[in-house]
Amino acid sequence: MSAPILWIVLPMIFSGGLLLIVRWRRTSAWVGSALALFLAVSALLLPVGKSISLGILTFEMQQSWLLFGRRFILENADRPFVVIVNLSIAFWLIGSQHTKVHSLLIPVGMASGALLIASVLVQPFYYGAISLLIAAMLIIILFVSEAEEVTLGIKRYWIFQGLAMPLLLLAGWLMSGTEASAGEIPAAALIYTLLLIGFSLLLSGVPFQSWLPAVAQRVNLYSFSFAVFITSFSTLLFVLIFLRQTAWLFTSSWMILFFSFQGLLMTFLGGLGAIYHHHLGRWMGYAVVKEIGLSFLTVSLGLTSSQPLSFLAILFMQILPRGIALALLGLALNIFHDHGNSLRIQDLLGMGRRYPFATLAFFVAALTLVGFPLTAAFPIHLLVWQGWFQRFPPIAFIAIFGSVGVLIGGLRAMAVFVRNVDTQEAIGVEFESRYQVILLMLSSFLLLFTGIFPQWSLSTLYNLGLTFLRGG
Amino acid sequence: MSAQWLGYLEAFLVLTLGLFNLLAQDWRRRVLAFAFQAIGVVLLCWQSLSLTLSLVKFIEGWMAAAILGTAMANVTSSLSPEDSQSSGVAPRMSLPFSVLVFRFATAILVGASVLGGVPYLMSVFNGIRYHQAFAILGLAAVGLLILSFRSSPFSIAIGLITILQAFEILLAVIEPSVMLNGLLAGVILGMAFLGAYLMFFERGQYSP
Repeated sequence: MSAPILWIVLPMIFSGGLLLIVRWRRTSAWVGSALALFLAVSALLLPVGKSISLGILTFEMQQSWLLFGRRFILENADRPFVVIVNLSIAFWLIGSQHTKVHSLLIPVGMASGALLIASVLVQPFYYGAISLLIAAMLIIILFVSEAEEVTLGIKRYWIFQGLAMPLLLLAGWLMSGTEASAGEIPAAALIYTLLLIGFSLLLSGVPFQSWLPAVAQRVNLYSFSFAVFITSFSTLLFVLIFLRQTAWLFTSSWMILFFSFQGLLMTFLGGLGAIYHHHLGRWMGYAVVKEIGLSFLTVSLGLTSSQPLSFLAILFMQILPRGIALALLGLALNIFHDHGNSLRIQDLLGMGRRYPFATLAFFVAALTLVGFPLTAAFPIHLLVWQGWFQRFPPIAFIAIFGSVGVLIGGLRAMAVFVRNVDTQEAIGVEFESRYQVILLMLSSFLLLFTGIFPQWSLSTLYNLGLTFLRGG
Repeated sequence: MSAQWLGYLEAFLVLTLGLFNLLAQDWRRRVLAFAFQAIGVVLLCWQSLSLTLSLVKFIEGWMAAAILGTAMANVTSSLSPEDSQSSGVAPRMSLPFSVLVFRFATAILVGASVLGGVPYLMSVFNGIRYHQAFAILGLAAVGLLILSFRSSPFSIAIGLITILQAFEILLAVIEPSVMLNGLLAGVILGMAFLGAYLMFFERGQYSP
């Protein structure tokens, strides 16, 4: 059997099957999470290129799959990425059982995961841009189905992703086969222009980040958290693969400048927007902008470092705290939204008394996203801040400002949640369902536990990152 | 007529139809123009690509036009008269003349800069002809203008597909790969389906 068929084609077939049973939402969610877990476990256990014995059955997982003259190559080093994507899908689908999400999340989640994996594995590498665009179009269908309207944010996302694909495909084609230095390539200026615009569009960099808060204001935040988490991580890895194709691009000062400047602007704008928000969906959107900015700053540190992989592997460390915090935020805010059908801050007065567990989870997730001490994201933020203090302190200050801005926004919301409300209607306590309480508390505990003992989980993720980057 | 003049005629055809899509109001005429634009794209690709692969672009272009046209017909027929009046979907909705002049003037300005970019494109990509380079840059520019001036899913789909068609002409010259052609055809059809899907959610607030 071929590894790309198992981890790309099979999930696509699964998603087609799941689409047929979305009518039974809970069943399809359980089946979807079981299938995603199966794919994650198989990626963890089955080595590629070696013979595997299962009882009387002996077979070998081949690493490449040929399709119309193009190859999908999945090496052992790529397995951590496959594990992470499928675990994320399983995690979100398990959580979707008891919160109001559109049933399309299940097949779309499965299919987009497969497409994102394909985008990283396809050869020539630049064909991955097409995979990413198709995944984005599936996510747009999910967003529109949930919002039941076509908002400006969704249109922007569609346009930005639609424009990114041809630019990156063209840049990739121009780059292929050029091992010379940039000065010897006649089209170097064109390559840089295409790449810089293409990366900004694809990664939602400035000035194309505006869709994030706009979409977060309208769509279901649980689905939003899934979509932005999985796409931002995969697209960043795709960009890294792009950069590593040629030595001159990886060490290019243009790229360093691009990622530093984008990181600076994104963290600043994310923090600034989060301070002045009046809607918790928008606040979450700005928090995501700040998080993407932090990833940009991490990449930039890697590009300037003499040991780039040691910094770039931090991107894998960010997965756990960011993923859990975003899912937790999505779940908690969904609970608030279900109550009053609004996430405008003035409509959430006294919500902490009605939903204490969701409020607590919101607080822990907000602290994690800003890298507060003793939360899971603190060691990662500290590494990035330290790195920038040593290189260029103003960027470190801006990065900290971004975190402080998101924190202020979160604290403003908390102040409204816990405010005393005298009306009879507001006093009634409505606690979350038992399943929701378990999910909220378990995830909050995980974030705090990982923050107190970072060496137990973050180092594993760091090593997985190193394995992926060394092999890619 | 020489092949060179025929090439210029094809480039002129696709750009005129693209420009028509930027300026026109009636969605039926726009769908028709979009379908004929696909024929121009096929003729431009055929100069560098086999007829079989070029015909794929013809089929994908006409299918995309059919999908968008059918969806638009359904959306407009399902609007109640009150919806139509409140949302401005009158049978003959007309924009102020100044808006059309502004759009046309912008297209002329962009067209002038496109002319300047043609020699550069030819120097970067070997084998590309003047009229092909002109059509590529022109279509990409018209697509961008459609995306800038119009905001309905119908127009966004047409704008993005127009840009992708420009890209297809370029790829026909530089990388005539079967898989890439197939993938791009899939993406274009996907764009059309997405546009059609989004149109149904935007009914009542529709303005093409």
